[in-house]
Amino acid sequence: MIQLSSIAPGTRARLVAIVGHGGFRRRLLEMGLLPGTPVRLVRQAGIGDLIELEVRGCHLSLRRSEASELLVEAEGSGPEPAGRQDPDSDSVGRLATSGTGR
Amino acid sequence: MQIAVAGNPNTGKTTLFNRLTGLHVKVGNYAGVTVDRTDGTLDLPGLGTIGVYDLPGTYSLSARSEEEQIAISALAGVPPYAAPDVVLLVVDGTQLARNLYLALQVIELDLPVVLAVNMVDALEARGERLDLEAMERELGVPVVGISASRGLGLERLKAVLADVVNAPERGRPGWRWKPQEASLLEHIAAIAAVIPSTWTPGGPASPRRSDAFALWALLSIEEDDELKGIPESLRQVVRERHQLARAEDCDIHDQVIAGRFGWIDARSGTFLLDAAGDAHKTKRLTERIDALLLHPVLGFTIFLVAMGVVFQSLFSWADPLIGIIESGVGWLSAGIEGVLPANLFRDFLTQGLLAGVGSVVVFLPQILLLFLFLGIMEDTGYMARVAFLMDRVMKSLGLHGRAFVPMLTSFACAIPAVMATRTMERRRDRFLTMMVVPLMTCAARLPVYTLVIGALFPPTTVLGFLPVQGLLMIGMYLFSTIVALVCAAVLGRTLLKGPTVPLILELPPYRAPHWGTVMRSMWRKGHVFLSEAGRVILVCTIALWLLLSFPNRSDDPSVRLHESYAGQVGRTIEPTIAPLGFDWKIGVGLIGAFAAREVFVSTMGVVYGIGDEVDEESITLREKIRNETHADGRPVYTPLVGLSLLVFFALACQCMSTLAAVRRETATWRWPVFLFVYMTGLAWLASFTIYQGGLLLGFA
Repeated sequence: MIQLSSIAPGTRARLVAIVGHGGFRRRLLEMGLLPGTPVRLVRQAGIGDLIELEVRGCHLSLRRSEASELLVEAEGSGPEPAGRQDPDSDSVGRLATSGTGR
Repeated sequence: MQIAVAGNPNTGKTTLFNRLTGLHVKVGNYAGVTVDRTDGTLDLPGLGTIGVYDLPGTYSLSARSEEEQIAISALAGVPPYAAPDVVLLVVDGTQLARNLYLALQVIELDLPVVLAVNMVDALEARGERLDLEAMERELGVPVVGISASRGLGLERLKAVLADVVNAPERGRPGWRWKPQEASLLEHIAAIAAVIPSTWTPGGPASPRRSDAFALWALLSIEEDDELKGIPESLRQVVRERHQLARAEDCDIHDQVIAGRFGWIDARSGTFLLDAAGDAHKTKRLTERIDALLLHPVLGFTIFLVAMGVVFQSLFSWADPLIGIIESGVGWLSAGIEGVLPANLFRDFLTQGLLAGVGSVVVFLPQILLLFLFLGIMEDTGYMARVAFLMDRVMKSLGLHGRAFVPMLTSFACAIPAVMATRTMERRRDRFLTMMVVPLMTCAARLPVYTLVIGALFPPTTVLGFLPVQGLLMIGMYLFSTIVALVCAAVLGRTLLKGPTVPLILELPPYRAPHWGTVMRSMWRKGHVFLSEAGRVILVCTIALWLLLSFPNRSDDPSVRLHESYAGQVGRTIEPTIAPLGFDWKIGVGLIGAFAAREVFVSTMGVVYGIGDEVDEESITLREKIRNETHADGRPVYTPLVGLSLLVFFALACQCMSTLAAVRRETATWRWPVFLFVYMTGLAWLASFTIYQGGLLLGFA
């Protein structure tokens, strides 16, 4: 289990837990960042400290420091091959994830 | 009969709204908060005209602030808002899962719902199709596929809306996701029992509605929220319930949110048909563009170039239009002078009323142009990338990433910048930006700088090739920008202190801008400016004309000025501005500049007896200024006085139009007054330091 902010761009991972409480955590959850959800780290900002991730078909940016509250398990890396069914980032995957949390 | 249009941000909701309502809309606020509300009308088959209004785009009904609370208050009909008869929920067909989260919440509120799935054309381009019948089955509400930008499916949508208006039960299927855990059901019941009766006017709420409120309360109410109208009794029960849950090692947020998404995930596989490999291609297009536009070096460069273009065009493209407006005003003025005899009424018409209207309308080109650019950037999705790129810089100044473009455009004019702060969610961010943008060197200060620099500083060069006058001008820009950033940092840590709110920024897929939507929102902003700030400006211009023209003791303009109320005020305040190196005539000029900064130039023309037709290039005025002496023969204007004047103009708040705009955006007079006081105080101190410091150092 590692922090989302520390995985390499292009890596796909599965969200395990979000530490912390309060409004920020609730907003993350409501954007679809739930334990068990696949996420992909798209890029890290060259200057500044934002990271961009893909979850449930949407692209979100978080600050690296705040993203450290998301703990993930890495699953693979590299861009998805074009034209093939990809369990994480395309339609089938993003809509039919089985993870429902606890 | 009212239909509310709701949905996530970036779903094309506004485009749909515009398509449905046409041109006759009224722009206003939700009562009590600075949240836009647009009201229009729609003709439904067999039903005639129905009212339609929009809700701000939101990801969820749960709220942390008064502004976010609007979503549930307006939908559920918590006074002073009236619940709509039907909710038209717009979802983005290409990002269905997250969009359906809001849909579940709205359905839970037990309101008749119609679901419009937008972007079906984008889906088709990808070779995908949604099973709308399956969605209708599972969600229990009518589902219509549309493309707002192409105008597809709209007739069908109107027919379905008419259906549901006639038979509301068709859109009220009851809860989709139903909580199962006994503990959660207990929490909901406990809270539903203490929901204030004021939230449900017209009698006790249906059990579904109370439970929906209970879920909302469980998710929204926190120790440090900024919600309004939450009785302590409700807070207490919410607190207790969270404690109970934690004692059992459960988290209510997790349970509810995961429950809803679980419901969605289990069914969304059936919602999508023909999932083809092309999905990758289109999706990757946005990512490939971002690889360029968000590139640390290239992306930033492109961004700077784009900002340069925006900035430059605000000056150069708006100028001809401003020129046309000024000529138009001049032409009308001359026309009136030709028709009416020379008397006070004629003066009131030309110098009071017409000048006032003119000084409002003259802002319009820049405001329209700015909102055109902002609209394009927002509609294409590029604005989110700007916030992404500028986040680090802005955060270190305590500002929001979205404040960058308003701040940049305040180099042209602060008023549209103030109006543009509405895009920021947090009140604190909006107010901080508004307090700081008027410090940036706006275009109206340029005539004053040109006059002062041209009159008092030699057209020589330093180091053999750097023109003194040019350097001074650039210096003024740098000076004001630095002061603005310092003030942002200081205010952000003191008066407007706020914790750095964690950032969740969505980067929507790039889309071609919908010109109809962009143009319409541009006109609306222009209209808002004209009616609101315009009123204040007009009143102040007329008041100023009165001050400058009465009492009417002489036909000689400069004597009349001396004896006028404004002249008297100028002479009264002279002691306060003497330490800055200014005399009473400059004082009168400063009063005149309060209407609009460039009025300083024409006022100085009147003061020095040349008449008010001068502009800043006038050699005569410059000479007059240079030759002006005190009673003892000392020159009134020295380069040091010039510098002091420049600095004063750079920092002082001398634009009632800006104050009017700030008043509108903050909904109170407190902040405009503060703005005026702190900026003018800062200006006084800076001028004082420069002038007295200069005297001490021996510059006469």
